[in-house]
Amino acid sequence: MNELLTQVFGLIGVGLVGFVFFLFLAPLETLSWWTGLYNRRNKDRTKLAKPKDIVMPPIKPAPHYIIFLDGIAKVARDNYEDVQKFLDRLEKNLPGAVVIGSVLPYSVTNRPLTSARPLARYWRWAKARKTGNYKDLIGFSINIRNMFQVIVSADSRYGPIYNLGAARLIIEPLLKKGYPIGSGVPVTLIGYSGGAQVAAGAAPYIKELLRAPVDLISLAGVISADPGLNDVRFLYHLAGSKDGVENIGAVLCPGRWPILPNSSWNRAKRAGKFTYVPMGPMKHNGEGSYLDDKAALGNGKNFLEHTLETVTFIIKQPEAVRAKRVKKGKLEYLFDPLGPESPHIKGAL
Amino acid sequence: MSEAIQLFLLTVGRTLRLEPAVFQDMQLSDEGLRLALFTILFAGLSSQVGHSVILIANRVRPPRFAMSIGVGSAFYLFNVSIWSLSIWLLGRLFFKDVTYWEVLNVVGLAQAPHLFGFLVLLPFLGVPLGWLLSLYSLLAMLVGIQVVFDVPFYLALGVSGLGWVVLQIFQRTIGQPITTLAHRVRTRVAGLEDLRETIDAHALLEQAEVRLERETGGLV
Repeated sequence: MNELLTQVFGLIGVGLVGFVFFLFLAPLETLSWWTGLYNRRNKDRTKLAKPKDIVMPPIKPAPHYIIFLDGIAKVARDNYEDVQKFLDRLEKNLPGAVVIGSVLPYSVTNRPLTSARPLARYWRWAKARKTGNYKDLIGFSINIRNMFQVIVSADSRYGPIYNLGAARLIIEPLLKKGYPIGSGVPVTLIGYSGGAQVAAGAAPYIKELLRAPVDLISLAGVISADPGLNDVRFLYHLAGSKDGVENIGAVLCPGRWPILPNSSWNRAKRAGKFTYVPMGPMKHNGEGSYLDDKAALGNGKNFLEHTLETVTFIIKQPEAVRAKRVKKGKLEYLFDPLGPESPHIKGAL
Repeated sequence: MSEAIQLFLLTVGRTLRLEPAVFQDMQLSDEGLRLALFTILFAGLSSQVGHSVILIANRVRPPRFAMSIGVGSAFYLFNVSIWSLSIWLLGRLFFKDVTYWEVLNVVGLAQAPHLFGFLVLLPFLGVPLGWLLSLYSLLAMLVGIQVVFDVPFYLALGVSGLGWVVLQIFQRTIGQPITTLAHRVRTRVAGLEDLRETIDAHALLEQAEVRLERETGGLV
């Protein structure tokens, strides 16, 4: 018994030391990018395209730009099947709008985990395993690696630097797709899980550099009390009742506790920027999640369809959402797409 | 040499365990003050490393970075000396006539928790950890003050609290030029026009716009 206890404590100890060690290393990519150390070593890799490459024969600006920042399972610019399906159908729902899903929010040097990195081979292996089985432990190491980057984004000191790097990655494809700077065309960031934190952090830079109104749709987002929330016009937080992850930010970030009424989160909440959108019995990821097209709601609609319709409605008719929301719940306002009012969603499509 | 290191580690360990006897032993030992000074020096270095994100945010070059850490540690020593001075004056006034060095000894040794100050670098956990270290250090100091002035805990708390108030008043009045000077020195050592003491999006953007311009040929 004693031996078992020693082993258990030994394991916990090793885990803790490992955690602290990797947490220590987590900001290094950001810092080496910011100080220019990284660029000197890898001259061509990290440079963003020059405007002469960006500004192609004038593209007609779209009426709306949407950037999807995937959760911490993302490894490269291409997407997992379910995410891509969601993006393709969202694009169909929003004719004319630009939908961008290629940004990897967890590398400020804009390098996929699967190439041009010392551990690229490992990450390719992990990705292959993850694609076969999303519960795979090796595959899950991708999530842990990216979770550390979300922690860096949420840190009050590293965060502003990391989020500037992330904002550059978002701004580049926007410009390539012809975003007209200063035109006031809305930019909507959809952040899934940890992607929502990066989106909130990047918001002030996008707003300032593109002079654009920035809205955030948090798909089960894990968000800290990021100062960037002050620069978000509206935040819609979509969360399922079986999701045990989306609430982590609310629990772990002191700025989200009611005892700090002057935190950026609580100020934005009081200003009525937040809308809570309950999504029914959806889970955070995998089977039964927001992007699952097998699981279905009571009305026969599958989860993916419902998520799509809700997101589409928010993007197409934000005024209607805000008009129909009621003062209720932990985010001050609530909009229930599954409530008795739900038929209006159909009307919107 | 190794004996000295051993003694240092042993003393630090005893301080971290908040043993009152360690402060007593140090008062009697010839090595006491030297050990206290070493503690301040290393604690200062470590906590300066812990707070160096601000230097990185300001893009201070490596040699300047090292110099800034050194100068920061010197300021740390200065702060501990002034803090000891105010406690010494108040203690003499209310309790017992001891030498300044005895108080510096206690306050210096009580910096031991800040030897872990480099952990403040940890993302997310670092800042609250820094507060915990300060609290830990304060506790060690209270134990030491009890010993050196031979007073109960609440009086030790009272005198250090009052000492803190005196220090705050000092910093905001006659200390103001010193604070300004310190900032100027830090800026100078870092080799910058202005060392920004906070990191936020709008400040970084000012710095970054130039950078984005250079990298993208004028993004904005």
